[in-house]
Amino acid sequence: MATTTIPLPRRWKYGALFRMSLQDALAYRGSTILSWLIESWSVLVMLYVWGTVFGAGSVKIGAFDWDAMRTYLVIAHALQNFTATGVSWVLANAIRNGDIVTDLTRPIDFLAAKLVEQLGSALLNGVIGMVLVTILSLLFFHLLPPPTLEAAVLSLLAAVLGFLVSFLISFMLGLSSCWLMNNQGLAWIVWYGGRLLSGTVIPLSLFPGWLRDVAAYSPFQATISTPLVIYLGQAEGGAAWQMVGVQLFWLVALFLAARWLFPRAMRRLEIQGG
Amino acid sequence: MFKRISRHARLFLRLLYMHNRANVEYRGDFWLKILGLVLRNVIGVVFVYALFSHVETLAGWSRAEVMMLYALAVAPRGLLQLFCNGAWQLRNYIWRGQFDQFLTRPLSPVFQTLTLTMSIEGLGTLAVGGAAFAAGYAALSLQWSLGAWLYLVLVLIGGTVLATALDVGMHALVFWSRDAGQLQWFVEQSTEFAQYPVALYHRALQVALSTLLPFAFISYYPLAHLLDKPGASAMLAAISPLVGFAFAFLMSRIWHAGLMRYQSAGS
Repeated sequence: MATTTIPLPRRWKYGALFRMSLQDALAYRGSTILSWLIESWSVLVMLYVWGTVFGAGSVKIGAFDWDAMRTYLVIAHALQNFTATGVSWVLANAIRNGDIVTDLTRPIDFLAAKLVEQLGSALLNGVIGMVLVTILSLLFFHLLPPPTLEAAVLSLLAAVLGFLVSFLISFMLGLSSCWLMNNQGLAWIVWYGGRLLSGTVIPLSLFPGWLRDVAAYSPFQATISTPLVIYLGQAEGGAAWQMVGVQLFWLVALFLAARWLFPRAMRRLEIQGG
Repeated sequence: MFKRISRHARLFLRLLYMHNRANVEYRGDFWLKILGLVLRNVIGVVFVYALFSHVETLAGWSRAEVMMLYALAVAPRGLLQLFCNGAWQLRNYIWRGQFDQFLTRPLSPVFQTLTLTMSIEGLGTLAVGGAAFAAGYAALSLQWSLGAWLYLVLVLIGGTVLATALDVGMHALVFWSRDAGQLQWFVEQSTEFAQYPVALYHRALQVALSTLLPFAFISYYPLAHLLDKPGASAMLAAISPLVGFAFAFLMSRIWHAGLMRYQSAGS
């Protein structure tokens, strides 16, 4: 039936995917907000621990006073929700049950399509995060604003780059299902290793020296730590731009790695039954 | 009664053997999973380590003491993963109408639910907990009596019973609503409060952690007593191992009420 296919310009295909992913994400907005709040519950533990450490006085640990630490912990939580994508699960499932075949037959770029499919929930998570952080800040936490307009704009840019880095890591993790029967173990390693090395749990500058060196050479720092260090004004001007440069380096390196890995994973792919 | 229990015990051992054989079938996946859970818990240890490189004490507790507290807080989850990690599957079983099979067999449905999964990677959790506990014990040069060790075993059993009971009770809410998983997640997250001295928290939270979310009883109250911390309550330490069993009774009420409501998915 010739009438069923409407020839659209290439970009529209991605536009349609984006609209679908946004609708999908919006349909679950209630449970997204609820999960966000439930996960904040364990952030409260960290807030109490650090709050006790800093006490009422003007204690300073490294570059942090209590105001900066509080801001760090709360925004790190929001950033983590923003940068985390479900793409590794999507891919692992599609590979396991064979649905990936449908994706492969579509005349669009696979990596780009998977990215666009995640943009809807990322956008929603970003907006929900910003709104909830602002509300919580006004009511309870009184978080620090960025010191300069430059820090504000640059940290937003860094957050977007952090999302892309995180997406590419997750994308490759998903592809690992072509080699592993079950990639749950590897997923845990990447997820929890990433949690530590991204600075979600503790700011990287407070790590013991050797661990700070490990983190400095890992791509995970680009996801949470970099936007936050810039947001807090702990890196300014040239130093801040240099950190964004490191993010761009990881973005390119991981993009090339994903491009390299994808055809190899597809060669390993076995679809059962028919 | 005795025959019934011994049959469940025999089946439990068989299931343990079977699950673990399946678990190690793919050796690569098995080691990755162990490593993953080691890493998950190492994060907590690294946090304590990093924290105490900047401060001396936390609410009067030293690094070694907080390490032991952390170990006691995570160990019950490790034991649960190892022996009775099936409750999270309840939701899918109910949705697909597969729960019916549990009701037709001459075995306790809660037993069948709990033994759906036994994850050997729980050893990863226990390894980190054990190491943190041993490190703290050595650093404090403690010399506990046999009685203290037996008490500790009871606390661990009580903690595991508590974790399992809450796991079943909260997951059983899917008998009422499909989206009940969020509450279970909330309760599981609350365990993290037990990793640090409960004295840190707001008064209302301390009350919550001793009543509705009684995780202070799996680590803080027992250890405060064993380490003879100022203000430790012998009474709270004495009832600590029992709290899990009290909650097991409460959660079994929820479970049975849920079971009464169960209607198969139909076909």
